[in-house]
Amino acid sequence: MNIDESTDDKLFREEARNWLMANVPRDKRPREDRSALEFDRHWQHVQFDGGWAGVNWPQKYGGRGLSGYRHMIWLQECARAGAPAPGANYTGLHHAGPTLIVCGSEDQKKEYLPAILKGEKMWCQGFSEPNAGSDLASMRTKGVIEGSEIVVNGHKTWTSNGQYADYQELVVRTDPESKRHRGLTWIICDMKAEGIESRPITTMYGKASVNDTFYDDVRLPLENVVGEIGKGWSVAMSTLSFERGTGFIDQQVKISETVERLIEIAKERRLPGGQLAIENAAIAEKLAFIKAQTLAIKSFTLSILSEIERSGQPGAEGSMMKVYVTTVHKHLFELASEVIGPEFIEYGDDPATNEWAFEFLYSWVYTIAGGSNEIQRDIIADRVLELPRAR
Amino acid sequence: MDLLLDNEQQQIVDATKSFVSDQLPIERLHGRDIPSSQLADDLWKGIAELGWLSMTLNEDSGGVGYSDVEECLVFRELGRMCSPPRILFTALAAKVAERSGCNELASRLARGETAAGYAAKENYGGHQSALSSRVFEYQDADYGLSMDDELAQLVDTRGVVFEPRLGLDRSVSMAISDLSDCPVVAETPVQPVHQSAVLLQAAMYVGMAEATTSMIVEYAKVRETFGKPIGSYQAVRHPCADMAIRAETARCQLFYASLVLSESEKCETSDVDLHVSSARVLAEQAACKNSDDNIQLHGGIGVTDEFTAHYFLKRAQTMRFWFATNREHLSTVLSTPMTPSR
Repeated sequence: MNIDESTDDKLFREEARNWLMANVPRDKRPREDRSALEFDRHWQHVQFDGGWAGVNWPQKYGGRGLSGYRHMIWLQECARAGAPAPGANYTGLHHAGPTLIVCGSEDQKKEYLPAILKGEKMWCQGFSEPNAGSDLASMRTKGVIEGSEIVVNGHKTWTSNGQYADYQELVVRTDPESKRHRGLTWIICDMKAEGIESRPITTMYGKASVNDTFYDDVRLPLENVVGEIGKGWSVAMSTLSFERGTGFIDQQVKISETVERLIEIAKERRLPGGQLAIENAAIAEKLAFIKAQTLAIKSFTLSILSEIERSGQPGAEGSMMKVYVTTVHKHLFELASEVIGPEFIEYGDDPATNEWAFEFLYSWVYTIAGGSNEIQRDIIADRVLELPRAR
Repeated sequence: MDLLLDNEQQQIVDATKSFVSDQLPIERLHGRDIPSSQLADDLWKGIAELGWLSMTLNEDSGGVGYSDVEECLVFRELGRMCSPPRILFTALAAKVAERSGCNELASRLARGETAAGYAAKENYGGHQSALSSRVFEYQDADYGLSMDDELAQLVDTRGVVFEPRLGLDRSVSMAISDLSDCPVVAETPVQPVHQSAVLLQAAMYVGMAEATTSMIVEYAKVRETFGKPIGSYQAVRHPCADMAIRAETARCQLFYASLVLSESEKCETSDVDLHVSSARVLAEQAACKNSDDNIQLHGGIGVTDEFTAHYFLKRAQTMRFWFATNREHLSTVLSTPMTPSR
C-alpha cells in the first residue's frame, strides 16, 4: 500500500494542468442541441490534437497507452480546470470504446476507435427495450442472418442522443429459439441505415435527448458483429462493467467538486431568520458527512484502480461503487435545496436554467440507468456475497 | 499509488486473524459475569509478544517498527471479535510514553508488564463533577490515558478509588473516578496520539462492520423460511448488499487515512485530521448500522443472549464515547480543507 505519486505521475499532472490552462474553451456549452453537439465534438478534437484523448487507450488506436491512475489524474485536472464534460461523446468514450478494445476485431478497432477519440463519430446505446430493462436478458429485438447481413426488427428504448449518433452498440436476438442470455449478438449499428426511426421521449427533467428507437428491416453487415454471433451477452456485460468500474471516475471527481462548491455557498447563504447556512448544525453535519463520503468514493476508486492494475479488469466491486456514488449524488442535491433555498425550485425545463435542480432530477437517471441500484444489489448479493440466487 | 495489501501486509493480516479466532473468539464473551478485560496473564503476554502493543514504536522502546498502516490492519482484525480494548489503550499509552521520552515505561507497556485504561472526561455539565472521568478498562490497569485539547497524558491510577459502573458492554470494565490528583507520568502534544487513537478505533469499527456482514451472510445461506433460504429474498439480500457497501467504503477510507497519517510522520501534511475523522465517521456509521441490521435480519434469534450479534451492537455504542464524538469529528471534516495535490 502506498499513496505516493511518483515523480512521473507528478510531471504528468503538471503537464496536464498546463495544457488545460491554455486550451479549455472559455465559452459555455451552448443550450441548443445541435450546437451543443458541435461543441462536444470540437472539444474532443482539441483534446485529440493536443495528445490528451484516450489517456488509457492503446497508442495504436490514437490513445496514450497509460495506466488507469494516469487517466484519473487527467480527469481530476479536467475538473480543476473547469473543462467541459464529454457530453455526447460519453457513450463512445466510456462504453463502446472500452468494449471494442477488449472484444473488437483488429479491423473494428482501427476503424472505430480513432474516430471516437477525434470526436468525429458519436455513439449511442441499444440495450434496453420496453419489456427488457432490469430484466435485460428478456430482450426480443430480432436479428435474422441473411447471407452476409443481419436484418433487424424491433424496438429499443432510452437511447440517449439516438437522433444524433453515428453508431449504436446494439444487442439483438439472432437465435429465435434461444432463451434469456443465450442467442444474443452485439453488433455495431449504423444509425443512418435505412429503416431506423428515433422518437424523442420527454422526461421529468424537461428537454432531453432520450429516444425510442424503432428498427424496420434494418440491414447491417455481419462484419459489424463484435465478439461472436450468439455471444452478445458476455460482450454486453463487459460494456457494463466499464460503466460501473471506471466510468464513475468522472462522476467521482464531479461530486467532490460540487461538495466543495456547496460548502462555499453555505458560507454565504442565509436561512430564514438570518443565520448562515453553514452555521446551522443540521446542515453542517449533513455537509460534513457527504464530504466524508466523497473522500470514501475517491479511496474506493483508488482501490478499484489498484485492482485493475493487478488483475486487468474491474470486479463486481463496480456494482458497489455504482450504488454508493449514485446514492451520495442524490443526497447531495437534496441537501443543495436546504442550502440554496427557494431559488432551488426555479427551473425552466432546461439544465442551463438551474443546474442544481437539473442535477437533482437527473439523480434518478443515475440510480436507474446502467442497471438500477436494485439490480446492482442483486449482483453484489450473487457475486460478492455469494448468497443463494433470488431467481 | 496502490491501495491493495502487499505480501508482508497480507501475512500480518493472516497471522492476526488466526491468533484472534483461536484465542479471542467472539464466543468467549458468553457468561456475563466474566469481564473479558481480565485476560489470562499468559494470553496478555502472548498478545504483547505478537507486537500488537508496540507496532509503531522504535526498537529502543521494544517496538516492532511498523507504520500506522500495518497497525491499522491488526486492529481491524481485533475489531472482528470485539477484542478487549485494553489492547488498544495500552498500545496508545506506550506511544504517549515513548513520545514523552519515557522509553522504559514504553517498553514495559509494550511487553505487557503493565496496562492502561482510557479516561474520558465527563464534561457534560450535569450532575458529575467537572473533575470526574469515565474510565474504560480500569481493571488490572496501572495507568490511565487521557486527552484534552492540548495534551495526551498518562496518569498513575494505582490506589485511586473507582466507582464501578455496569455497562451495556460487559466485556469492557467501566468506572467513574476523579483522577485529578493522580501523578502524571508522561505527557506529550495531543494531536498525533489522538489521530492514531481515532484511526485505530476506526479500524476496529471497520472490522466490526465486516464481521457483522459475514455473520448475516452466512446465516442467510442456511436459514430457511417459506421453504427457501432467506438469502434468496430481496428483503434480506439487498440490506446485506448495503451492509457490504458500508463496510467496503469505510475500509477504503480507513486504508487511505492510514497512509496519510503514516506519510505525515515523514513530511508536513495538513489534511491528516480530515482523512482520519472521515474514516471515523464512516466506520462508526458502518459498525452501528451493520450491527443493527445484523440483529434485525437474524430475526428473533438475534436478540437472544446465547447468540453473539448483540455484542457488536453494544460494543459499537460503547466506542462512540471514545476519542471525541461523531459530532466533533464531523465538525473537523467540514472545517479542514483538502490538500490540492490529493
